[in-house]
Amino acid sequence: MDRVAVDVLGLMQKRRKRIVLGGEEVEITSLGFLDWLRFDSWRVDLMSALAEADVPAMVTACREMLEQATGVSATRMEVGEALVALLAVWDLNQIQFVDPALLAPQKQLYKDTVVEWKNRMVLDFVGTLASRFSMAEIEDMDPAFAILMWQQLREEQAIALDAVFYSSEMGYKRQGSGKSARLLPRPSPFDPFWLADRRGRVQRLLMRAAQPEILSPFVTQPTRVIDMSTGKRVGGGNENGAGAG
Amino acid sequence: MEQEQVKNPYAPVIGEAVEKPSATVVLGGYSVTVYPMTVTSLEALTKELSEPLNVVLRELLTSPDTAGAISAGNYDAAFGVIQELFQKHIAGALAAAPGLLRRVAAIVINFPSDHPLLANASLRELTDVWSVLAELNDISLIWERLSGLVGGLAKRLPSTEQVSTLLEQAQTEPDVD
Repeated sequence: MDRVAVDVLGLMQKRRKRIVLGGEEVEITSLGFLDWLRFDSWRVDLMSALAEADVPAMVTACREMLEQATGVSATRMEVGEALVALLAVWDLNQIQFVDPALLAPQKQLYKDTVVEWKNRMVLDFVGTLASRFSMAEIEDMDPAFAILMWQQLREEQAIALDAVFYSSEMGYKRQGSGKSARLLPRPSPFDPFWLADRRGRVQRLLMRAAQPEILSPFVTQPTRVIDMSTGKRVGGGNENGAGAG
Repeated sequence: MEQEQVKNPYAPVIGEAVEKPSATVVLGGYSVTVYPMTVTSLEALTKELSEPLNVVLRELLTSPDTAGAISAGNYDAAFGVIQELFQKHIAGALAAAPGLLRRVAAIVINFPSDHPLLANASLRELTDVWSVLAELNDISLIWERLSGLVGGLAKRLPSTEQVSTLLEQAQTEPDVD
């Protein structure tokens, strides 16, 4: 699997920017993981509103993003300042792992499933991270670091094939050769259908392989043992010392 | 993770005292001080003017002139098109509906729309509020910042050129899959 070089220590540090809002200087920091998920949701709303040419929805999405990311009330923000602040908070909370396809305007399919997808993604991320971190840590965790940790925990659970970092550089695969070559977008791990399909398939395969051939309540030792780090069969129960209880 | 820092030439100067600009308008025979519009007021204003604003945005998004001007970085030309569209749709909508003009004025001066000052204001006075709004909020500065924002965000999204380059590479490189 291709890897993206990540400065893990760098990810642990909050990024900061100073901007002016309401005539006063304000220092803003990058959002923690859970706030970032909400922020990203508004960012998607903003792009959907732009695609639908819905000006009030765009302004509302911007207002909510700015209030959350800066902690300053919109009643104090002047319009000219807010435009500068918007770019600053966008930069501050932009991470390279966000699937650019989410920002594409043709989002009819995505729009229909956005709530289901968001819920599933949040549950998956938080559920996976909660096996290693406290909720307070998850809340405050840098989103890029959270995604990195999510990937590593997933790998430990032997479904590493599902967790592929998606970036515009590696987001395409080549099909064919020469002049007939085509670039097809790789399935993104953020795609709900791909993720659900792949994860379900791998889990079914693992479970099927682990099933004893004879389903009897008297079977007291496994007939096969699966190495969870590789997903491969490593031998029978007796060879590995797994005995009857 | 290091973020690419894009300098915004329109960022406010930090560390200097900012004097809040204001203007005075006359409504129903009384003078009222008006301050630059906040984001909350802008949100209320866009809801009042949603219909003509959506038409303007739709025309902007579909206009080859504007799209070409923005992608070429020629924001002045795009601004010209926007001003024309504003004049055509928004000023037209306000001129045709005094009630709408009154509600817009109420948002700008941050008064309830049924306030006696607004009820007694003449059409001319209400129109003046709209003019002061443009002047006070320095529309050209806001446009510069908005175009800076659009240009900045455009750089962060994958462009058609990037995809074309990848396609060209695919045609010359050997298969890996």
